[in-house]
Amino acid sequence: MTTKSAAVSEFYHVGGSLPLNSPAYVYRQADDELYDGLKAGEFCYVLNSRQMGKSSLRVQTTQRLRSEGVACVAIDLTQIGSRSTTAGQWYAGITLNLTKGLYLTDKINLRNWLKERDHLSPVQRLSEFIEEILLKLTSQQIVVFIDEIDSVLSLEFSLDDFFALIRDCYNQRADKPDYRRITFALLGVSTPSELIQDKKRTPFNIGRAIELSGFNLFEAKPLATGLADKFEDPQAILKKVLSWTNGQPFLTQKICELIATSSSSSSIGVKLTGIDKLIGSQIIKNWEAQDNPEHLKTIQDRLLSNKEQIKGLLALYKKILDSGRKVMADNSFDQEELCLSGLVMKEKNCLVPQNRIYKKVFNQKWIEKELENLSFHDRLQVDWFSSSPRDSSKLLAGKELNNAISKANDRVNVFSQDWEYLLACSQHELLRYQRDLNEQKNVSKKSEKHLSLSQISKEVAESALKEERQSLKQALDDILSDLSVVNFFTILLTLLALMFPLQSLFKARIAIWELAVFFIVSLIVISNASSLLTQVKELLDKYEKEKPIGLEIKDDSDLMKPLVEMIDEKLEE
Amino acid sequence: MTSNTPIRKILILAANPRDTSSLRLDEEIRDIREALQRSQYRDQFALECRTAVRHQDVQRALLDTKPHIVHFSGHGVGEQGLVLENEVGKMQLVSTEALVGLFELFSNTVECVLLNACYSKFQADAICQNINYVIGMNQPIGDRAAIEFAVSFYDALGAQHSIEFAHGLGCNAIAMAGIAESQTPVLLRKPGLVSQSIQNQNADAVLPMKSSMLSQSTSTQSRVFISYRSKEPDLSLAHQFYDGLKDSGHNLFMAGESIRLGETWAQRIDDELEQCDYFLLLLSPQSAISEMVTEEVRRAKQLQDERTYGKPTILPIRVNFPMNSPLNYDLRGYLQRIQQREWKSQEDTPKILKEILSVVSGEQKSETIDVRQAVDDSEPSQLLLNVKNRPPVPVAEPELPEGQVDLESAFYIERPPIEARCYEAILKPGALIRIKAPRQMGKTSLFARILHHAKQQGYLTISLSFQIADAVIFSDLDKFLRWFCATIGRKLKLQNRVAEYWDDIFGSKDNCTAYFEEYLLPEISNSLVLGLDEVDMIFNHPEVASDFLGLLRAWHELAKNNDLWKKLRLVIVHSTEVYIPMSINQSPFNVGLPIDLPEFKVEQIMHLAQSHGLDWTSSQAQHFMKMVGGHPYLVRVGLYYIARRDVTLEEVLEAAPTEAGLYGDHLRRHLWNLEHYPELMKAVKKLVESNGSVRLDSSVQTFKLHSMGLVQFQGNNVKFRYSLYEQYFRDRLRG
Repeated sequence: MTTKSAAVSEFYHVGGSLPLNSPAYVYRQADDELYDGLKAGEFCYVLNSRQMGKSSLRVQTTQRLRSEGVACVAIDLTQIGSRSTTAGQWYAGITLNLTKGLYLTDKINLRNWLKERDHLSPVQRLSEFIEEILLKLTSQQIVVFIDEIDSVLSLEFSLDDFFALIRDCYNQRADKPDYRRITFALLGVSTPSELIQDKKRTPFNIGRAIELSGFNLFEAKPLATGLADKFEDPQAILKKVLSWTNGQPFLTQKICELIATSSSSSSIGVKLTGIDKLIGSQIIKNWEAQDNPEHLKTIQDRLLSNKEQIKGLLALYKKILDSGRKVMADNSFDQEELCLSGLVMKEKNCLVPQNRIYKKVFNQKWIEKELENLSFHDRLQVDWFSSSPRDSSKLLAGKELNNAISKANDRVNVFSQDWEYLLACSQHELLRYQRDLNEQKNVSKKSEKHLSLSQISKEVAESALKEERQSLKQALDDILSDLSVVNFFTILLTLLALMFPLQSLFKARIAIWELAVFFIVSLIVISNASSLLTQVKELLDKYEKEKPIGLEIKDDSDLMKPLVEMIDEKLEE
Repeated sequence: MTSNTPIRKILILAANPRDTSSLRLDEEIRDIREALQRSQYRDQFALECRTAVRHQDVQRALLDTKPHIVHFSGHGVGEQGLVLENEVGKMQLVSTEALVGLFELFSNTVECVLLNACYSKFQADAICQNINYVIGMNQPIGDRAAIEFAVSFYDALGAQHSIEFAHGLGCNAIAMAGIAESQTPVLLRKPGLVSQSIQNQNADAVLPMKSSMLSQSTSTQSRVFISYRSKEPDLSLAHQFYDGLKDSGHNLFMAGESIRLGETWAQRIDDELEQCDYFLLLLSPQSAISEMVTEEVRRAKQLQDERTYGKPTILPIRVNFPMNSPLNYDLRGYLQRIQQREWKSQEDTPKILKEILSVVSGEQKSETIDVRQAVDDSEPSQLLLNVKNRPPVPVAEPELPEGQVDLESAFYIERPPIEARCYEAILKPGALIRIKAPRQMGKTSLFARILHHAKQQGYLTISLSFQIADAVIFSDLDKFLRWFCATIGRKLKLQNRVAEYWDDIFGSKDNCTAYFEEYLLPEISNSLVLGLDEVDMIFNHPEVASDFLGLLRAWHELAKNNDLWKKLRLVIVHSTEVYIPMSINQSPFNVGLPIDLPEFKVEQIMHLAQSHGLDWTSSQAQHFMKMVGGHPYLVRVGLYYIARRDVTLEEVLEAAPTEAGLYGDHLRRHLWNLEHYPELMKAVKKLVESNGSVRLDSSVQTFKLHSMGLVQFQGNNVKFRYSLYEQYFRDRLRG
């Protein structure tokens, strides 16, 4: 019994890359794409979520290329950099690994070679190494795989130079034919724009992106072999498994192994529902304790790792999970990040959960639990985003809004979602103020009718309105607070002065009081509105200076226009 | 005396303008703060920090805080001056002349100026015309060196040393960290100043240095912590020592009886351990298997490692406990470098007391054995005692003693199919096995068996427990990897060539990989099974943990296609999930064969009872399990004493959840441990009040309690693992 289950446990492979010749390796479209791309000397990159089989793809492709005489080097970046690594050490690590990988250790004393070029910058040393050593000492095609590329994000220095160097190797091809022999492939969990921002130096826009998706039933066929001993119709079993995992490689291998080693497997054979039970009890239920080797936890960690980003991701995911309505893919920052976690994927231009297991594990309840950890207004924001049509009762108002905006103004990074939310709140709030003002104006007009006998009072009202505009203007120049007090008193004094001659007229007196109330209330409204406006202006200034993360992709004009217009309008008034 | 000492104010000014390269200033400030907080005389220091300082801030800060020591951290550009910030966070130079003028005005309060910035010797030269002590850098200084220097500098000041000494220690710290910049910080004195202590305002208040640091001829008053068992002959021996030391004017704390008084003994022990200069340990065969004693020694050792002045000194006296009889694995690790004395009868008392007195009074230095030769003493010494008569020890041996395997195995209960799977897995090239279970669940025993199995196949085996390693090595990746390479090399009996392979050109991970790839692995003829025990120790240092586990993963991946690396096989043992937030920018450590050790089942307990000569029915076993579940160690302890007919099952169960019972020692250790983690204590209190399962606030708490073995999962909730814990903690913590 033990020997048998051991044999099975060798068949499938859970966690880490699959060894060469593993019978459980599943060939996908990406295999050919990557192979063809590299063969043609193209720069290729596989940027995808974790545990989708990137490293296994690398191992297999290496093997295929080697068998055709191509020299392959694989550099695992987690082996090189740590937080305390300097740029010099990092680049030296790359040269060291290139030397080892191409078996040049006997032909060159790398330590001395590097020391002699101490005067060069780290990237120059690498560049010279490629040209003077790598290409001189070899004659065959070379493919350099760089795995775990995302680990460079933890480094303390920017690696823009490194990516630029890769691009440069391609640019050099025109002049120096030797460069045609070297090709790069990058693999990792990241996006091109996260790795390098500089559009002119990035290699990613001259390269080929390799999409890596889950196994489909046809591709996954080899996996059925491991079940063939135990089941009459392993294909049906596999189909059932894929209906849960949607071909997610890690989960598919894990569940196949579970089924193959499960002692009650014979009963599973009878009823396919046994598989549902198995997945329910051994994967989904109490998953935090059962997630070994860890997989689901990694997804959770990634989603929750950036405190400022959590609400954006949760709101988006909630929306995807919530509605029968579809969430269109728009390549926004949050969407990219959510896809990178592996939790959701693009399907026909819409975002959907990657598979049923994720959907069950990261369900509404899970979202609610995570939302509990957020602050009150973060939660409101998530609710607002995931509501459709958008629920304006979830918008912030008054002091809370002011606080939120001033906090955003202090923050270094503002994410596009925060930005959008705050602007929506401000817009809503300003509209409300305007409504209040109009209402007050109506009241005052009524009072004016009562007061029609007096021309003076009308003038007073007009002048007051004028002053209101004046004060608004000034408020926008950030001096309202001082002035409004002065204004308040001038108006009050004028009113008192007016009251004496009109005292005999009772109606008029009431009207004047109403007018006074109007002034006071509108002043308060105006001062609130203008302090909000100043803050929003500040936020807009900040936006001018440094664009919020992720906003650039989106067309933001519709979002900005009404507000900008509104502010301009106020200023004109 | 200390209360009269004026408070010394340290003002830290940090500037790292946005348009200059980023420095790790936050880290430096944090480390300085920690160094001072650790210090015994922390009350005498007040630390003020100003970050992102502009030129006007400097003046203001000096006026506001009236510091004695001014510490500047940031960039320097040599003759042109130091770099501060302007209004918009960009760099602004402050000229040397301006600085000289500034410090001239403050020269009657400021004693020392430390310029932790590149090329700052220019400024230091000028400033020291007016200030007594100025430290500057004569060339660029790296972030790491700057931090190492600052931390040791303040460590020394915190321990009441002079500025000269502190400067020397700081330079030494740079050298110790293996950085070639130890000559960079230069101490300059005001011309005409005679070398003095930092206490120059209050010359007679200079604290005497503690006796262990300098062997002074004058006798010193010391604090001594006596740990002993409240049974004869330990008890009267402890009292004799107490009287003898008391008469010589030393302060004593008896950790035998006094700690049982009152409810707050845990706090007491901590305070006393913290304050004591000497830890006098009376080790009898019984106390040597006590979890509390092991824990006390561990904490004393930890304090020693944390402090630069190495307090407390541990003085072990073996009471009727011959030198050649084995200590448990952890105790052996903690005490391996320390000279032990043996007490056999009353006749030995005067001689030992005399020796203790001379050490404690500072007349004689306590002896330590050279580290290098001592490490291999951690090999288990021949077990002279018949295993059957040996009480179960709280800590298992990571290596099976030669010739004792069969005997050991009599009490080892297999948990199929785990053993078979592990034995099989370890034979595969490049194998990686991860064993995870809470403490005392039999991880190390399984680990020892896997290693033994591998050895029989002709592999080289090495076990390395992170528990007994000095805590300091975990704080820095480079230090850690050097230690890792050196230790493994030594255990392979290969010459240490770390220095040769460690090349600053490359990062530490590359150096470590190269050491294995170019030296260790080619040197050995056969496969190497490397067992790492208590790996949890590094989880408290997320930076190091992420990098180290990432490296192990990378090696394991390499082995899939690289023949040399196929030689390396790893067994990794930890008691908890990797609960630290690992860097999300690298693959998780989810490779290899994961093993979760389950508890014993009824049949297994019956089987174990049988090996103890007890003929138990399954209902007896179940009865027992209601209290302690299938916890291997607790079950073993119970069976051992029942088999010796010391107690009956009923008696065991009745007194079990009390400190007087069979598990008192075990329970008290848990309680003491919890006292150190207020947030865990709070969680346990929450559990006590809930009467069932409860959801804890954070998953870190959950995992930590789980790893201690106190709780088990129930959905997303947790509950006490055993009735034993539930009853004990309810009794201790309720209300």
